Amino acid sequence: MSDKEYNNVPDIDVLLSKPFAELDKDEQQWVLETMGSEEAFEDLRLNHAYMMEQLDDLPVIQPRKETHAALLAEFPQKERRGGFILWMNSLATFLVPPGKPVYRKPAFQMAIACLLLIGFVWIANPGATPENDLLASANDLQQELEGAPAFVDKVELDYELLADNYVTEEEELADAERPVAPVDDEQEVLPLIAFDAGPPANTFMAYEAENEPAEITAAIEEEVAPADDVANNFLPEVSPGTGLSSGDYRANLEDLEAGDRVAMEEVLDESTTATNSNSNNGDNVVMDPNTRVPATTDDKFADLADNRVGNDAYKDEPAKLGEVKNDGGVETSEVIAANEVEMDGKKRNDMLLKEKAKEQQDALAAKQELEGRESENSRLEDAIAVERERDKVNNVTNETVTGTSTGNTENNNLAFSPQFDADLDFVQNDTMPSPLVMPDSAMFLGGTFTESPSVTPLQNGVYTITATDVSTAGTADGTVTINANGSVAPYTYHWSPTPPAPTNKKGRSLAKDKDMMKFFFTAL
Amino acid sequence: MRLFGKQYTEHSDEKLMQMIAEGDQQAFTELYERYSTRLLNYFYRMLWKDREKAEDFMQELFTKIIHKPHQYNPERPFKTWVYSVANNMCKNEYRRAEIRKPTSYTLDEGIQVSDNGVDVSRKIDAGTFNERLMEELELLDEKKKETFILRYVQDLPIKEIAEMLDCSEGTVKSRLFYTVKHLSDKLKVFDPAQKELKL
Repeated sequence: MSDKEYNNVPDIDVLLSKPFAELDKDEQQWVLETMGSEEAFEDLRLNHAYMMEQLDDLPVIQPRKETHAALLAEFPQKERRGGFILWMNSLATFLVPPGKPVYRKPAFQMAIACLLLIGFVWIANPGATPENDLLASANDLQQELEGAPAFVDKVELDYELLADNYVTEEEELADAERPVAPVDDEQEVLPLIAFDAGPPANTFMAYEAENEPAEITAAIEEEVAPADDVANNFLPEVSPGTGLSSGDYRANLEDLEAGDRVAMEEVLDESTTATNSNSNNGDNVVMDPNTRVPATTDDKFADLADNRVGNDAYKDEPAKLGEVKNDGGVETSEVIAANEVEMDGKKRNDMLLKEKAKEQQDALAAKQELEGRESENSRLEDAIAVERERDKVNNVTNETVTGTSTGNTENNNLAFSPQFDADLDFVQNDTMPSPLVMPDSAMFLGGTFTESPSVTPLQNGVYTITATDVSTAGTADGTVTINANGSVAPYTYHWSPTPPAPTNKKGRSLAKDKDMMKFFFTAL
Repeated sequence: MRLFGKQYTEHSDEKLMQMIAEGDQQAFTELYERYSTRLLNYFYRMLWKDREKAEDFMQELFTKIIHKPHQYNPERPFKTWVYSVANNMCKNEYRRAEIRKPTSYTLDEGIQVSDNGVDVSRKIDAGTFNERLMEELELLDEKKKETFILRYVQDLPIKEIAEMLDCSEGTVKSRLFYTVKHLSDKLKVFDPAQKELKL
């Protein structure tokens, strides 16, 4: 049988599914040709059907599991991928296992449990809804904006305190009996005290003209102002009791407490140099005569800078030298104490003032304790005014050096290194004569000038302040009393500005918010 | 259950083969689960109901899939290709065993659908219809046997069988008709008509 003949063969399954009568003519013709009779076809149908039924019941063998394992072992080993996905699928298999009813799947059971828990929480606390929370927050904010009662009470309390400070006359009168000024409600008493500690024992004051610091160079080269100018230049010069504001003073105190006394001592040195010029007449007016406001530290440094500029000009223009020569020299004295009283304490509450006063008192106590320790070894500092005058004629070598030791002038040992000419009119162990002529300026400039004063140590200065407030607002009847003791009497008190009814140690008729008191006293 | 990642069960056989070529072991497992039983039974029917041999052949076939996946032509249906490979393996085994039976081999001479009630009784007593059927299948020639098994044991359509055996559909139909007719004649002793079969 050829393929063409095969192409005429009908599908046996279709053919045998129908009885002979249902076959079309072509199919019947084909059956009769191939099987010979209709009965043979029917027998074939029955046998085929039975055969197919039995084939369906054939046992199906299953492959062994080890076969699969053996095949996987032969599979090329590659890097495992999708570990996280595998884990997720495992989790999904656990949560939603196939073949179980929905109510038995863990995911469904956990969802029901969560719903029950949420429902329980909602029933137990029905008010705790997000809407209610938001509404409560809005109400709180509104109350806060409109003024919560507690906040209003505090504000009123603050006003009452301020009113007590400024309005109540009885309380002002009662405050007038208070002995200590710093705790005054209206006056912020900021006592400033500056102790001129002086150099330690075996004072060694040296300078090297070529290598010395800028300040010392300036002190050597600058022309010291005449005595008349000292008073005017006093404020710009650094006077720790007068030239610094209360804030600067507190900062200095903190620095002193921290052990950094270098800056303060420099300030004290410069202040002493400036004030000693008039120390004998006791006519120091520690104020700015124009503004009645003490000069600030910035002003002082500005003036120092101006002096340096002048010195530079002095170097360039020798003809100007000597114009500001100070015949009187610079006197060294000790500023035992200085205080500053500021009466601008408006809008300060009582608690803040007390805290500040306590801090100041503590700082002063620490300062005094420190000064007490150092004063044992302190010496009065002798200021040596050294002035040079270049030989204007020859403009070369000769230079005049004037050295004046003031203050404690006993047993001063003055020496130059290298040694000056023996012909110099200079006597050691005595007050330095004036003037001292140095024939060789180069020799002086390259050497050092030392002074070893031996003086009687000063005692520690102590002061007390007693202040009385104004009786009523607008009345200038406040007083401040300074009592000094220790050190070396007599004491001289200086007030700035001069109060209407001044005394040596008591300023009177002080007005609130009007007078800023600044005072210091000296003891020589 | 697999909710994340690749759903291997949704991939076609051809896609799985592509993934196997890329080294996807999961794809191979999926393909193995689809065809291992069928191929094992095919080998079992084709190789004289030898279970061990069928297992070996099935494992050898999948080993070829693992190591030589690129020999598969993606343009061709995988089922057709894998049965073709399996059929070729059986042919090779037939050659090696030299047990090919001639088409002319029949039981006509030994078992006549006749009035010999002894033979009929012996056959009936010897085993069930299926056992006899399998015995008759073993006696068929290679082409008729493989065609019959693929059609009625593996339930493959005539078209796919034609592709597997690389012949026309008419040839497959013809082989099936004459095989069925032959088996019907040989198994007529069971007289299915008397078993009240409902057609």
